[in-house]
Amino acid sequence: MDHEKETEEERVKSALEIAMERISGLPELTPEEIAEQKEREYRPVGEALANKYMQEILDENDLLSGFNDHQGVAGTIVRRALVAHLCRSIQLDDFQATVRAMNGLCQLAGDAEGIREKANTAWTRILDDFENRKNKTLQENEASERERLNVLGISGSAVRPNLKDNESLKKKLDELHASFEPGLEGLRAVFLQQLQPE
Amino acid sequence: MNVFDNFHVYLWRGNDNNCNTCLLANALNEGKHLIVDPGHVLTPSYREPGLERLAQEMRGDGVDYSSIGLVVLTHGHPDHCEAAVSIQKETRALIAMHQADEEMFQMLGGRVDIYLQDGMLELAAGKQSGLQILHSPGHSPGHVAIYWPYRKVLIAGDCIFYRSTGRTDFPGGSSDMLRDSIERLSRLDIEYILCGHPYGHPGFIQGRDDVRENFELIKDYL
Repeated sequence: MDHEKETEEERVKSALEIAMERISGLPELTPEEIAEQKEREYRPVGEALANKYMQEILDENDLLSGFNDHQGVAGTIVRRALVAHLCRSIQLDDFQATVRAMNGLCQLAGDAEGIREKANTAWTRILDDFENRKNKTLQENEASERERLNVLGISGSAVRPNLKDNESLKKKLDELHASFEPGLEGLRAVFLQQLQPE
Repeated sequence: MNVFDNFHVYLWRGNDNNCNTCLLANALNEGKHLIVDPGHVLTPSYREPGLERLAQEMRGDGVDYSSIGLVVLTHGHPDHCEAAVSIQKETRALIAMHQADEEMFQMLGGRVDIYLQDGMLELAAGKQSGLQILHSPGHSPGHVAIYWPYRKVLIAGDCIFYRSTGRTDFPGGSSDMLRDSIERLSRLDIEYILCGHPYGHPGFIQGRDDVRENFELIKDYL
């Protein structure tokens, strides 16, 4: 029995030694690789925090605690990922998500330099301008569709042209969205400047 | 069957399930026609050629199938609108239906051009051809009935049958809504009802008395 046990231990020890030898043979990680590894480890933490906040699993206070929870390099990465995710949620076609993201970002920023007021003013201006131009585009398109139907001999209060599948309208709306992107980028920059760690 | 003016009714006489159809010839500009509920291309069980028979009957009435310009669908069930997909492809006719049934039609491969809602559908043929669209849910959420005031014709779809009403056990069906819809339709001044199917009767009820009697009977058990 003793003989068998000894052989077993020897075999395990030998495997461990082989593994250790292999590891010691590997080159040291470069600083870039270490940074990349940390990024891979902590970025999902920040994104998950932002995600849970956007899905209303966390409230603004939970978000702030999560934001301040990590220190050092890890904290920097978590905060950067969180802020970037919330900034990406500022979109014209999702009003509710944008308002929630902005509230979260304002909570993280505290009232630094009146950021809440600055952001709200900018967002309201962008949204109003966008909605006005979008409604004008829709109205123009509906009028031209109604005119087309009229030529065929179809009109009346029961008729509402389907604009959803209208390719030219889709293109116009895409262009309209694109034209507002610089404005949105400016709004995102307000938060990024305030909240992104150096 | 030409009923009057340019109004044609095509009652389904096959053995399998298919719907009744009607047509307003030359209702649109450039001699285009309006058709309501063209039915199945091929019936589901016996593979009867519904659309082919319809086109044949239209030809018999001197109506050119390729000149269909607008297909109005009372609702999105395949036994009413499967052929509309083919007509849309073959003749580039526009399709009009209520938005609430659009998804069912899309599942058959169709694309809706015009959403119908409560109000008047005015046609090129003039004031006398104006059709009143009545959203009448119950059989399906986006079911519409079509009333032609000038001729006092009600195209009832699957809301009303001869001595019977439409089913409400399909997705989106509601017996409460069907009752309200029938109640609303019964207040119209009607002399003719084209029912969606020939159940126990060809499905074209003619005469004010018969129409009233039918409403009274079906309202009894609603």
